[in-house]
Amino acid sequence: MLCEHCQQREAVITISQKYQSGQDHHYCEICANQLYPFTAQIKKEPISIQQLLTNWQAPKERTSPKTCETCGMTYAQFTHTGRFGCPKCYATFASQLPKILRPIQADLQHVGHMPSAMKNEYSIKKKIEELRNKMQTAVQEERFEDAATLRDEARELESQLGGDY
Amino acid sequence: MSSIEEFLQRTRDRDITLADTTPNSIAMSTRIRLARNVADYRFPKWLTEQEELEIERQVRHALMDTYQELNHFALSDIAPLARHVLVEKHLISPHFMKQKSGDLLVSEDETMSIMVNEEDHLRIQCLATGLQLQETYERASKVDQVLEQQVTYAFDEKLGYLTSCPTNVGTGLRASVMLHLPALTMTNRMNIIAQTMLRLGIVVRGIYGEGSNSLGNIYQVSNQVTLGKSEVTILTELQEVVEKVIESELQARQALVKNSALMMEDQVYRALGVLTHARILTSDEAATNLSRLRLGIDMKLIDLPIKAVNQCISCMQPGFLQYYDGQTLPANDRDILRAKLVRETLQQAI
Ligand SMILES: [Zn+2]
Ligand SMILES: [Zn+2]
Repeated sequence: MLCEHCQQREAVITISQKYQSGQDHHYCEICANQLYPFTAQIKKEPISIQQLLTNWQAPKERTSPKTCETCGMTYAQFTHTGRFGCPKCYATFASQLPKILRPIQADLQHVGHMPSAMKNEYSIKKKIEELRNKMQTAVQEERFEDAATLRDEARELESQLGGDY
Repeated sequence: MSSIEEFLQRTRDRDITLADTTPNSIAMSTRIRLARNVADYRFPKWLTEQEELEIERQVRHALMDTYQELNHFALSDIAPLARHVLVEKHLISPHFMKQKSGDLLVSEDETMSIMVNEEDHLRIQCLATGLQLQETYERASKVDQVLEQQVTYAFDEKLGYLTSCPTNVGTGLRASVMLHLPALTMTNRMNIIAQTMLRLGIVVRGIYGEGSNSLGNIYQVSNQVTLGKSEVTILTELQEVVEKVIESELQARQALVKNSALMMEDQVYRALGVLTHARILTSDEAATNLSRLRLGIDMKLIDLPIKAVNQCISCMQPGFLQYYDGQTLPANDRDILRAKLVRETLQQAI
């Protein structure tokens, strides 16, 4: 493709017009540097989704992960669009996530805000875990009465979670 | 409930940068976006019409009591030119503009908009004039909290808010500030600044411009990372970087004045001459000259209300021009109309 500005040199840089037309523009390096002195310098832009996709696509040939049971998306489809089909896709493709997320994110563990319902559940789960650890210790130290009390407390909390925990 | 046409007539002279509350000469405006999805539904692209309607109904219902003044428009009822204006006002995304269906909820003062069934089920967005990251985030977060009372979000303890694109997963937060940086651009300092920012996970884009030019020395600075950093960290880091950039811009301006004061003054008054007298004005030319004028006002080389410049920036955009002219115009006619509007706006302000 020729540069759409000078129509002479080969277009090597794509500029996405995010806020106006949403269209992509293709320029040669010289025109891009003139027209977008700033953007065009960022050759190693970490978020270029196309760039990422080529990274994701490479290993696709070797491993072929399963299909998402909820939405029917395959990993090949994901690498094609860069978009998951449903929230469950994250669980389906969990083994692929580190290589997708590491280059673009700071870490693989969310540390931000949670919905308040989750926040309760999360803190209850944490407490249950703590109680179970204490219970283990109590059993090891043969303090069986303490262990029973701790077990009852944990059960009480489990019933609050209502179900399969 | 009023139509989109009535809404756009009422809000014709409304632009976020025209608000008086905060100085907005270098940091023009702040935007916060939260991406959210409803649990147990596929992402919008793969939804049936029935499911789309279910989600739209759920969202409207959840917001009804708290945000009674919200305008509601079905995307299918919005004509192409009106959509274009909404993009220019930053109330919808270019991606949303091209969709067949979806829902838009927007507050009367245009500081809050919610796109339903864009790439994610929910894109909550709040806008403010100047640099107000914390305040704007709190407003968006409040909408989020109202919604979560009635809508079960797709959320994972490890990965946070689950989004269609993995570049948004975690906090779903994209915070951005629009910056006018003429002196850093003129002195070719933006490259170094861009490299530094990139290393800090902050991305800069030119924001403005029809077609092939990066116009008006206006840049959009936003966080890249959404997972592994808390909202507070993301906002604080962006705030720090933006403050540093503003400081560098001010230093570059001082240096320019020191070394080439007359040349700068000349540029500012030439810009005023072109803008108040030209009969044909391309968006490139308008943006370049408006940027110079804006710089001249900031540096007290010329006495004009900055509001008039902001008004020109908003009304000179192609969608805006054509919508309020009531028709689709060829580029030549747009340039003539643009010249007329800019001329009139500035002459009124002088
Ligand atoms: Zn070229
Ligand atoms: Zn899925």
